[in-house]
This record gives sequence, structure tokens and C-alpha cells, in this order.
Amino acid sequence: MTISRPLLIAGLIALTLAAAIGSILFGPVHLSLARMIAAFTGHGDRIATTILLELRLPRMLLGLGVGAMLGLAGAALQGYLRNPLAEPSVLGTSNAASLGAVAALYFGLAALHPVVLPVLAVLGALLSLAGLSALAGRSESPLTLILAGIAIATLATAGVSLALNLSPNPFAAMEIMTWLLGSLENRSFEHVWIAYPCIAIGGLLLLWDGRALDALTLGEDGAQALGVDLRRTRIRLLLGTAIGVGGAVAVSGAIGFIGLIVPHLVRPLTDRSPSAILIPSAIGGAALLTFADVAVRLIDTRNELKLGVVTAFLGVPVFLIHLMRERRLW
Amino acid sequence: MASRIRIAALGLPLLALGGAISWASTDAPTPPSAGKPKRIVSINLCADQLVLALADREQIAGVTRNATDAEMSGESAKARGLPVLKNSAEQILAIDPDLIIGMPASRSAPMRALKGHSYNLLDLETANTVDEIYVSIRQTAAAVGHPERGDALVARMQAQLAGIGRSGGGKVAAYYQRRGFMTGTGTLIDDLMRRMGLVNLAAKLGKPPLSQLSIEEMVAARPDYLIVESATDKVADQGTEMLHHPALAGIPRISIPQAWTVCGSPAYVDAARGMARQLARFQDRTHAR
Amino acid sequence: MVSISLEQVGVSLGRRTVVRNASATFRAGALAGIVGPNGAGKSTLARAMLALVPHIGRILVDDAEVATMPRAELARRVAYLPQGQTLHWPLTVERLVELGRLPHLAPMSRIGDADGAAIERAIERADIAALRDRVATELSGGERARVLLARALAVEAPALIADEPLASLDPGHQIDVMELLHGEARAGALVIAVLHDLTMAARYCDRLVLIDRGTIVADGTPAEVLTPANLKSVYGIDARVELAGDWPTVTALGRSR
Repeated sequence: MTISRPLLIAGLIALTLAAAIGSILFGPVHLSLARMIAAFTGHGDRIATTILLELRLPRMLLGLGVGAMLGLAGAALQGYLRNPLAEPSVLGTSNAASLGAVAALYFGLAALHPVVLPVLAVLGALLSLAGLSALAGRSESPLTLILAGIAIATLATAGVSLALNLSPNPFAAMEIMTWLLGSLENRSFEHVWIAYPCIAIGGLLLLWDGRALDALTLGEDGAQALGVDLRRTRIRLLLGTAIGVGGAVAVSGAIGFIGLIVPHLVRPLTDRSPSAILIPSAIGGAALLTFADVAVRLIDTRNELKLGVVTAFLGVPVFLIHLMRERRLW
Repeated sequence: MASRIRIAALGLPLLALGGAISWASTDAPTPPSAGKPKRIVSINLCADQLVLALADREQIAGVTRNATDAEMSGESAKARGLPVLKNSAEQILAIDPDLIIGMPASRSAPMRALKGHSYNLLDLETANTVDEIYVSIRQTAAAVGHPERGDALVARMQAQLAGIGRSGGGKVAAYYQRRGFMTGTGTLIDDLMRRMGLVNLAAKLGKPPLSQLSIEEMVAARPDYLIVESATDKVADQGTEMLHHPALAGIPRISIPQAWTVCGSPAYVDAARGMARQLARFQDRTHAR
Repeated sequence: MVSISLEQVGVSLGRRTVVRNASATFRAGALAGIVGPNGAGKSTLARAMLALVPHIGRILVDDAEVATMPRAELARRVAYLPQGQTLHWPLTVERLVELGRLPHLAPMSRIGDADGAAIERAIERADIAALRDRVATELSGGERARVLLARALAVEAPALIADEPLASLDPGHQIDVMELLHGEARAGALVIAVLHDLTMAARYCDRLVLIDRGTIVADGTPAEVLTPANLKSVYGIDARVELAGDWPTVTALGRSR
């Protein structure tokens, strides 16, 4: 069911646009269309302008950026590890980045300089990927990788809980859910400036190796014999994932399953080669996360639903479908 | 046959010993009017404030953990050096107090554990208005054996409060806490606001005593002032980060230490004075323009 | 004309020495077969020639040491068909063959006309035109083998090393693949095939290199190498070798005592 690439990209961009518009339109305060248009053309009243430009706009931008990064990272990791279940949260990278961010925020390190927060988040991600390599690097079996990922994710989650409970700030422990399930509530442009550079650098590094990922279809030997420098490819992929996911998690917490769902949904519409799903996964991820973020605002609960709850409800069925289809291989 | 007699012979003295012990450990309640209490224990932070303000230092046998925390306790200076209690019935048993003050005392967890014993208990009610504070002061003063101090304190507070004017001018204010929690009517904060002549945003929006308001809703409501706890002036977690969102930057802030408002205590005057002073400063600026 | 020379090459995997002191020179225009028992080090030697494992001694492709040659450069000179028919993603046959052009593509460029022509030639030579739009992972073993061979041919490198290209193929398809490799060699390529089947090796290869426990024990024409004495000492079998036409046929009679 391959559709032409330009058509696919155009369709995904249209979806993303719809999600972005929805993100601007919906929020706790109802604003009439007339007021919104006035605010965007510069003639708006102070309230509408503040709400749209300082609250909803950064939130929308973060939904797009974080979603794109998670989708791209999932597609790249699946291509590199030749494993359709690989993605940052399954491998524990998101939670480890959360741990870095939590350490920065709640022990006062982030107050030293705004760059400390993303740097520690990236460091957390990097350490977890290095650990994953060490535990399951050489193994061809998808099972080993998933098990190693579970180990790391669990350790990082426990670390986050511990850090928040040990923190000198008594209110910190209440924020565990935000860090482990993710949220874009109350973000400002300051967070956009923290996340976007990391996402840009990470994204660039991941897109670089599309060809290498294709060559890996033939296995590591086959790919190297086609001229791929696997060592450099691995470094670029690890760095790209760590920097991009680290920056994203630093502002949004650990959001799971975007990197799992989107490549799976996009793959049947492409020629199924790993490089072909990279950009569509990024765009699709942006759309999906932004839609999820609109959903948490529309679903009326006392405390705003965490993003990770919505993505989990979407992601687990994908997991299960794959599990049932591939059951004989396990 | 002989062994059974031996067991019975051992058992009887043991039973008698046990009976004697349990009889001895039941205290007879100390009659309240028999002199000033010498071992006062407070099991609640707000009770701490009153006890520290009204009793002699030698009378106090135990205060709560938070009493020495300057962030949460107005009388923290006085509390330094006094024995600190955890929420433990054992500690209370060991002290053998002749007065326990709580909010309340009788239904609190440590006292439920000590159900078999009877102590002198003073249950204070949560004070939500300044008049209720005066009632608590008088109750505590009487219980600790210094009723004249209670009257003096109340008189002093009334005089000081009379000197603080109503500078609010009917403007709207919102008490905004971490994570967007907002304090409503029927609370001490609300009482303070009305004393200042301010309208509580929660009252205007018809919200309950504690509710959550998103930043968008706060921006849309556009109160004239935000009243915040001074501890939230520094960003230490996501809850406080929210209070520093750029969208809220345009609203003037009045910052009051939590230690003055969390309990109904003499620090109410400090809170009122602090609010009045900051309000006056804002108004000067508006008039000066 | 391309050549591959091995000068006292040794390869160790972990603590085991798998290949020791191997020396040989391979020239273009001939199909050379590397044969030997299981675990003799045939595949390892092939992989060393592609710098996939480190080696001691010298391995030269056109007088340039492979260990120091840039990977892309080596990939353009020597094409590799790995053993095992590994295929991780369900690509279409055409897309798969396209992968063979990777060594020739500049960093950010797309498939060009020259690449398209090479792909067409490879598809035709491997006789898989009918399978062009099929999904490669859904093909039979024989079809998949031909598709992967086409992928290697699409590189259009002057040399080709094929590791066990006949695995899981029926006799008819085995002949197809050997004919193909033989044809490439005739057309001027340097072709090396690691083979299990002695009869196929004897029939199609111009030259055989016999490896036993990591060392080259015989190097010459099939008739010279596949003698009963060699077969007995290397494989531990009693065999009858008959010359049928131009090539020897080996019939294993039983284990030698």
C-alpha cells in the first residue's frame, strides 16, 4: 500500500497543521475566533494576546518539536537496532534523561545556569545508551535488547523517585508523575529555547545516516562491505538520540510510545526501507503528540491528564498487535 | 499433678504483679485548677504558636518538628532549644505531660494510641477569622495558667490592627500557591484580604475554599494583585516555576511569609502589616505616574 | 586488472587463531573456489579480505592494504555476498538491488541514470525481472539467493567475493548461480566463492584453494587439489575421484580409518 512520497509528506504536514491549529484553539479559557484573529494580527486585547502568544504558542511549538524528535528517534533506533520495538522510552533513554533533569532541578544545579538542565538530561540519556550498548550491544536477539531496556528504564524510574524524595524541597515528591509520564502544561518560551537547539542538533545527527540504516538491512557485515563505517554511524546515532531526546525530556518529562507507534503506522505507506520512514516519522510524531496534547486539554479532569497516559493508551495496542503477529518468533 | 501446682504457684504472683503495674500506670487526671501546668506538650504547629507566645519557657515540655522552621513557624526563634516531638505516642508517654494542646488533641493520632490513659487535653479550633484567633488565644492562656497574658495579647493585637488602614480600595486579589492552588472564602487569608479592603478573586469566581486555577484562567481573570507565599519567590520546582511564567509577569505581587498565614496566631498582625505596606507602595507608584 | 594478494595472513577471533600464514594471489578473469571442512576458516578468510575482521600480514587489493583503505573505496573495488541470506526489512526486490549502488553514491545524492542502468543489468543477469515488485522477504530460498546475488552484482565492482552462495538451493538453482559466477569471471571479473559442495566447486572453478584448520594445504586446479590423499587428510573420508569431461567428480565412500 505504498503511496508516493510527496503525497505522504504532504498528508502528514496537513495533519500536523491541523494539530497545531487545534493546539492554539483549545485551552481552559474559551476565546472567540474574532478575539484570536485580532490577537494574531496585533490588535488584540491584552488577555487574548497573553494567552495565545505566551501560553498556547510555546506549548504548541513544544508539542511539535518534542513529538518530531521522539518520532524520529524511534524510527532511527528501529532501523539501527533492526528491531521494530525499539524506541527511546522502551529502551529506558527517556527515563534516564528524566533522572538527569530531576537531579538538575531539585538539587539546585539548574539555578547555576539555564544550560545545566538540558546538559544533565542529555548526560542521563547518554549514560543509559552506553549502558544499553554494554548490556545488549552485540546481541542479534530482540529479546535481549528489550530486557536490557526494561532494566535500565526501571533503574532510572527508581532513581527519579529516590531523587525527588531525597530532595531538600518538600514539594518535589509531588512532581514525580510529571517527570515519569510527561506534561506540556505551563510551558513558556524559555522552555522552547532550551529544547529546540537540542532537538535540531539531535535531529540532524539522526537524519545523516539514512543510507547506513538501509545498508544494515543486509546485516552488519553486508553493510560494512557496502562502505558503511559502522563505528561512526553508531556514535552519530547514540549522540543524536541522547542530545535530541535529552533536550526534549528536559522540558516535557518522559513521554512514551510516540517513537513506537508512529514508525509502525508510517511504514506500510512507504517502501519500508529504514531511511524512507525517518522524515515521515518526525512529522507524524509532531502531529500525534500535538493531538494528544489537545486531547488532555479537552478531557475534563480536575488535574490535567498527563501526556504519557494518552500515549500509553495509544501505544500499548500497537505493542500487542505486534506481539500477536510475531508470537511465533519469540 | 505436682507440676501443675508448681505452674499455678508461679502464675499467681505474676498475675498479681501484672495487675499492680496496670493499676499504677493509670493516671488520675490532674485537676485543672491545681496550679499552672508544668509539662505542656503541643502536638500541632498552630498550637505551638500560641503556647510559645503565652506560656513560660520552663512550662513547655515539647513542641512539633516544624516549630523551629522559620519558613513555617512565626515563633521559630522562641522555639529554638526546646524539645522537639515526632508524631509519636511513646514520646508523649515518656514525658508524662499535664497538658496536651492540639488542633484537635483528643482525636489526633498519638492520642488515639494512648486511649487507655487520660490526660488533660485542650482542643483548639482552626481559626478562620481574627475573632476566632482571639478565642484561641484566650483558651490557651487560661489553660497554661496565664489568663492575663491572653487578654493583654488580644488587646495589643486589636490596637495594632486598628492602626492599619484599609488600603485595598475594593481591588481584586488572588492568593496563588504552587501548582496554581488558590485560596477561597471562609479562610484566614480571605479574612486578611477583606480587612485590607480587597476582593478575593475566588469569591468573585464562586470557587470553593481551595481550588486550582490554570495560568490561562488567571490571565483571563486579570486580578489587580497576586498574593503569594514568599517561599515561592525562588523557583525550586515545577510548582513554583509555574508562578513565574511570563504570562503572569504583568500582575503586581504581594509576598507574605507562609509562617504568618498558615496558622491563626499573633503573626496575623505581621501579615496584615506586611500586606498593607506592600499595597501602599504599589498605590504610591500608581499615583506618582 | 584487479588482483587480490594475501601475504602470510593470520586472523584471530578472540583467543583462537582461525587462519594462519595464508598466502595466495587471485587474479581477474578466473573463478577461484575456497573449499575445506566446517570450521576451517574459509568464511573468516573471506571476511578478512573485506576488512571485516582484523588480520596480521598483508592483504592487498591492487597493491593497497585493505586495513588502511577507506571503506567506501574498498566497497567500490570488492563486492561481498555474505552467507546466511540476512534480510532485516521487507524491502521490494528492486529497492534491495538498489542498495548495491551505495558505494557509488555521493553523500546527499539520489540514484542517477548510471545507477539505474547498473541495476537493470544486475536484474537481467540474475534473471529476476519477474520478481521486481515482490517483497524480498516473501520469496523462496532460491529466489532470495538470486536477488541477493543481483544486489552484489549491482555494485559492478571488479572483484566479487561470495560466501556460500549455494546454501539452501536446489540443484537446478545451484547450477544457475555457479553459471552466473563463472560468466562474471569469464567477462573479466575477479570472483572468489567459498563453497561447501566439492563437485560444484570442481566443475565450475578454474582454481581451488583447500584450507584445513586455518592453513592453505593445496592451491591449484581442481584436479590437482582434489586428490584422494588430500581428501583423506583434510576431510577424513575415503573418496573416489573420477575425471568426467574436464572436471573431477568426487564421490565420498566412507570415513577413513
